[in-house]
Amino acid sequence: MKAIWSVAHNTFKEAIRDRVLYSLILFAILMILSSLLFASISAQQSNKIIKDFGLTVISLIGIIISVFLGMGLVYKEIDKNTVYNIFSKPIRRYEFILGKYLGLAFTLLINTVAMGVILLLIVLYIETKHSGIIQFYYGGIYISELIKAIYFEYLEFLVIIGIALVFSSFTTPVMTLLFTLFLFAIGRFSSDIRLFAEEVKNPVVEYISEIIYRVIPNLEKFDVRSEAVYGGDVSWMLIFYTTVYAVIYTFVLLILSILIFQNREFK
Amino acid sequence: MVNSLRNSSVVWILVVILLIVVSVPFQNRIDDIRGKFRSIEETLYFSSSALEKISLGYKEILADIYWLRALQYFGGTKFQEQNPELLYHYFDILTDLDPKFVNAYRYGGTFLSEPEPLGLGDIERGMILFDKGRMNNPDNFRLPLEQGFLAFLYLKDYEKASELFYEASEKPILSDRRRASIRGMAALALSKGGERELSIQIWKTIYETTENEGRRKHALKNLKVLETKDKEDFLTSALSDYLDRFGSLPKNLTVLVEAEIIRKIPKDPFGGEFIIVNKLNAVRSSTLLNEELRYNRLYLSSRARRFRQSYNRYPYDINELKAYVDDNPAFEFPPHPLGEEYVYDPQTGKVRSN
Repeated sequence: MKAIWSVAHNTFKEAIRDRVLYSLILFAILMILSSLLFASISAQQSNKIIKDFGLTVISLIGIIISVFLGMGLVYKEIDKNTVYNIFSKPIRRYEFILGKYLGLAFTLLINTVAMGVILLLIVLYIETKHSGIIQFYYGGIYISELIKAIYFEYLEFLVIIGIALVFSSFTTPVMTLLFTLFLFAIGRFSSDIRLFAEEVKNPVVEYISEIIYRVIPNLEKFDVRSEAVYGGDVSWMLIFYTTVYAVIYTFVLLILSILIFQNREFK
Repeated sequence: MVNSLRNSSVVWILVVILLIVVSVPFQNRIDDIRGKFRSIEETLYFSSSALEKISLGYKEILADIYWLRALQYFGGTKFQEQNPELLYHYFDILTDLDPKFVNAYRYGGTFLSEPEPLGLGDIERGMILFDKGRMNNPDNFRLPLEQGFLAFLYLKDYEKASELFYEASEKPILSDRRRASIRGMAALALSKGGERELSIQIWKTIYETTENEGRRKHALKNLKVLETKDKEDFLTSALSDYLDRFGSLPKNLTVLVEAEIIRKIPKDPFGGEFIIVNKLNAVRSSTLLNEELRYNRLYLSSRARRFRQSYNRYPYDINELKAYVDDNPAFEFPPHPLGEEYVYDPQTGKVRSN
């Protein structure tokens, strides 16, 4: 456990050294500028635009960090031969993988929470200025839905880090980037595969499509952004089921990463 | 744990599979709460200008993706759960992205216009989509031709149908023979009594050209209906001759043969038989008659239910129901095909026949 924590801690420190947290400054500047701009040109819809924009930027920044840091998580250590130093210490391979994952997950947690707080403050600021209008157009400010939407985005990051980690365990960063983005794109359109499975008349194709749908990450399930703007029931049951789904899927990815890394030979 | 991992990769792979299986009920519960096709439905609400920007200039491929989604989503069983407005919006976006996509106008416009179960029965939106297609593709003859079919068959606007047929006949791509045939349709659409002849031509064209098996069957059925109606008219005319000659209706149709008014009784194309409707002095096919009666009963019962939604009660009697139906200019109280009165139950709002 101590070894895992040690690797996680180092991964986090490395991410900070890579100036990941600069993204927070970028986010804050973007949000403040956009809120000033949209407030003047959005015909009283700044609340909606700020939420849409803020949640999208949090998602994009989170995914970029997950993919770009995730793709080098393991490969970099091998490429720079630092992996030998690490394994000369009492660290097992599975501890190394889990530590790497947790380090990056923690980095993203800090990042997401900070960006979420910035967004929340701006939304609250707009609320104090235009509460009547927001109530009139949207029926409420939906702060709890906004927080839930950010939480769901974080769950998505956890899965994406896992995907990047699996690929990073056996291939180069460029290929990891491509594979992860590919799986991310498929995951975001998973309901198309589901629809195809239901509509197709050929039972073999239907069966294969159903399996693909069940195996690929259903990233659509982590999107409740529209509820943050228009309201809607993001129930505790939905949060529970989605969290369990993310956790199970992450476990699958971690086991796969460990299995691959376990069987890997270093020259 | 490392050793166990090393020695039992297979076990861990089984664990992975097991976890995926365990995740399925959770996926299903999330789908139950949020809807299975939410993301697809959400894309319907994008505006085409927004999509054009998102596509980064690759508009046509985006239109293709929309097309494939439309075929799967609306072509399956899901369309019954959708409304025509949604479908129109989808095809409007699709054709904004790719205005030359002629088949999108044809498919969308026809599907919107045709009555259930073939389509959604929204002729107005179907016509708008065809209008847009004609504007964006002025050289295409299929769009005005097929729009003419719809105007003639479902809108019953014969003038508009004739104009559209004429427009189609003007397109330079047509052979002389085809041009003459379409001009013939334009003339028939306006001629009195030409309705059935043109209907036969249209359904024949649809039967011969459509690739959709359902539409093909529908066209064949309509052709059979028209053929049956021709035979009904023929026998009704013979019945009138008999009535003029003998002053009363015959007991059955064989009497017409015995009186040498007709040589033989034609066969009902649907396999039923032709019967004399005494109250109307007419001959009808038993198949068409039963179908019409069934449709009228269902239709009138549904209007009674609608009445109840508005007034919290069913109409007191058939006259009140008739007044309610006739009140709406879009509907007409259908006469009983046997010339009798419908039997109406004010307790249940159901319409029956004796």
